[in-house]
Amino acid sequence: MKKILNVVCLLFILIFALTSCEYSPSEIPLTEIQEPKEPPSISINLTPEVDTIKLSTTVYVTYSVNTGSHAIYDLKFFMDDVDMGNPFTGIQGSYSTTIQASKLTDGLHILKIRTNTATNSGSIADKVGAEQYVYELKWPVLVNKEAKNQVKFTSLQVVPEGIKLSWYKYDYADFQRYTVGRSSLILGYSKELVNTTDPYLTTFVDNTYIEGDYVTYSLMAYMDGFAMDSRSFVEEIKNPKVTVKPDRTVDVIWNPSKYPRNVKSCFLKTSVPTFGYPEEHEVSDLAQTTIPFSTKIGFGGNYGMQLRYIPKGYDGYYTYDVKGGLTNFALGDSIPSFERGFLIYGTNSLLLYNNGKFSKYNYSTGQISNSFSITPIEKVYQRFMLSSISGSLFGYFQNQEFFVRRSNDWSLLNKMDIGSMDRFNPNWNVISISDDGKVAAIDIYNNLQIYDFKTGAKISGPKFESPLVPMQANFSPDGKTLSIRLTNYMEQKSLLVAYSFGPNGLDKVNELALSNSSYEATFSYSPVDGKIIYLNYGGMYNYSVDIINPQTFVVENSVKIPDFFIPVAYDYENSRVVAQYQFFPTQEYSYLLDVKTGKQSKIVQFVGQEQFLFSNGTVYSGNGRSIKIDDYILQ
Amino acid sequence: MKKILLILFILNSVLAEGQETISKLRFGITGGFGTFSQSDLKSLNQTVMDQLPFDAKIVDEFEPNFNFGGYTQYQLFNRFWLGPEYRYYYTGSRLGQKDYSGVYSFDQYLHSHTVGLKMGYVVAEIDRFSFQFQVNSGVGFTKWKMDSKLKIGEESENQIDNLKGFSWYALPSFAVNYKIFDNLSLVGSAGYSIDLIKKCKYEANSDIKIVKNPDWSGLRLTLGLEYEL
Repeated sequence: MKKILNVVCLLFILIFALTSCEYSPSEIPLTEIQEPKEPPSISINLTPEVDTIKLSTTVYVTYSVNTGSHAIYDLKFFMDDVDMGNPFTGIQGSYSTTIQASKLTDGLHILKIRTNTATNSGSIADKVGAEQYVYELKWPVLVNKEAKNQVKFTSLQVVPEGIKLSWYKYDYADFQRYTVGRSSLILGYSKELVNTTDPYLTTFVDNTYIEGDYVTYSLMAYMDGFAMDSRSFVEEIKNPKVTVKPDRTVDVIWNPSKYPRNVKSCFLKTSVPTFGYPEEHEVSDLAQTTIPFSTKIGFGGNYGMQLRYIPKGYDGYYTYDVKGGLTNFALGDSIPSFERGFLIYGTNSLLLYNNGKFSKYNYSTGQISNSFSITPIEKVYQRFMLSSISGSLFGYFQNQEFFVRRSNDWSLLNKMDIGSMDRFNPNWNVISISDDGKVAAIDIYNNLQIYDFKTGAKISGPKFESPLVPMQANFSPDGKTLSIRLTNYMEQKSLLVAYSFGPNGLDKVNELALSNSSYEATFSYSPVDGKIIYLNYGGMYNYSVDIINPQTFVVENSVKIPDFFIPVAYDYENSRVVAQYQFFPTQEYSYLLDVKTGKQSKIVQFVGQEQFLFSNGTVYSGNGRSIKIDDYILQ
Repeated sequence: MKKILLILFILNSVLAEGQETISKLRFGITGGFGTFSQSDLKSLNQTVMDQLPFDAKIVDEFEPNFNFGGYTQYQLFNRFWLGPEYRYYYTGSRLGQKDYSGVYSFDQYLHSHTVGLKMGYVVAEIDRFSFQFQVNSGVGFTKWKMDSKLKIGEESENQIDNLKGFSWYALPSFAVNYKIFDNLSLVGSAGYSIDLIKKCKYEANSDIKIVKNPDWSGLRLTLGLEYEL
């Protein structure tokens, strides 16, 4: 029995051992697959297409990649190794993200784009996406939030080809385009010069510019917003050379344009003073650089010779403003120009006022004395600068006071508030000064007031009642007589009345009735012989010169001035008067009349509206020229 | 009609020989070789392969395999033996792929413990040989493990699913005994096992309905020793 049990136990142990057997799988054979080595090249396109992303504001960065048959498993953008989140996925192979400059500090950052693609090796790892090619692109990102404010022209240079414009390079990612335009004073000559989407195009040569044209170059940079700048530019036209010939015509020589390819013609035109005759020429032959002008110029005003280069294609008026190309010229010998001038008899000098300064010019020696500055009333017609008959004293308003100074040393005789000032405006019609320091003034209310500037006393003068109105008061050279021109506006007649200064005031000593109201008439005492020179106005540009004896008030001589000629200068030494034609169309000559003989001579045309001084046969004009009148007698 | 005739033949034999029965007990241990249908699981392998993103190959697929067992039988009648039998089967399959980048495998491990009632009828005895017709039927308890592994570089993933199930089987066979000694015989048999009912479920979650079940049906060839008391 025991033997049986042993056998049974043995059997069970055997069975138990055998049931621990289990399926043992075979080895999986190795499949020969070529392990990928170098990743294949892929096509990458970055937008914006710049080497370095420069940010001034928010930018939308697009990364397009063509991996061929290699599937893209993953694509991520990192800014300074910080994951920027899931990119936007566009059309196949296009990914984009937004970089906001406001969230980055100014300076350099790194944008990294990592692309994972399939290897296509066919391996298990490839098929489950565990085997990938990794492409990393690092893109420098330069943040400059102030860049937009730096978009300006950096230079405008004149180069042989034209005007070279340079501007700040805005190669930031939000750049869209530059436009550069030129606006010109020449009608139709404004144009757009540049319109580009290339941020690296930062220079341009404007080869259509011509000299003299006032242009404004404007730069517009379009980005996320826009920035603009503008620069004005003008290149002066070289002034032409003008030669005044003895026959008073002129020859003109000029330089050709630096940019002949842009020039249609050269246009020369004289600018003339009042009553002058202009002349113009257009020269289409660009090789021609000289031309004679046939118009004879006059005396007394400045002429200008304006050269303009006319651009090709321009068919408007040739009157546009240009820089340069203007040469002033005038007839006569040069002297200092003046706004107001006075003869100082006995010194061969002129007392001249110009631009806030009095000076003395000795016309014999050409010397100019030291000047004396004043602050005159701003409005020229209110200045009442005047001198005494001999020129030894002169007066002017300053700070509501009337100053009288000696012309020899600028010393002050006196200054007085002579009244009749409406705030800062003097309400005077006429003022005169005597060589002994008396001042007579008639205000706009027809009140005559007389002051002795030596003593500072006010002298009681005559009163006039309607219809008599005092128009002008002048002292005799010795200062003892005051002659007053009165107008009877009821009878349309005038009176010349003389008063002498006596111990009891002014005494009427003479009276001369004149035939017309003479609103335009003037009179003066001759510093040479003391006679009264009465420029009698008969209306309609009709003047005569009457010589009146100051003692008897008898008209000793009277000379009629031709119609429409106005007396503008009187030579007291030689009793000659220059009369200027002041009617349009004007005449090409003036008249010189000898008051004593009545002889009339046609002389050079007096032009302009400058003041003339006439002494000893020489006429001095405010435009800074003088002529000996006998040299310019025409017939 | 043939089945009816066979049953009548067996019953007639039992009844005819029953009068001469001398009750005996015998024990046997056998080892065998069997094939396994496992058609569902082969289909499962194909499904797995179809779903893989890479090519995979069948390495093993429920190849014919050894099995072991033991039994005891009591001689109810002169030619009729009856008793329990236990057998242990195991098999498995593997599909996978291996290359420079890693290896993938999907393994199925199956083993089954069957307990059945083994009936044998001695058809003839000639000299030291006896010839038997046997029918074995019972329950098979199956353990089924699916093990998928993916290893790429140093990284690996592994998923194991454990299932269990049972099946009713029937194994008709023909056996030959060769009496080596008086009490010890060498036994050989050949038969075909048929799984009649198959059910399986996940061990972790029995609610999941399993539509592909192990099928142990297949040829059974055994060789063993039998000791007779």
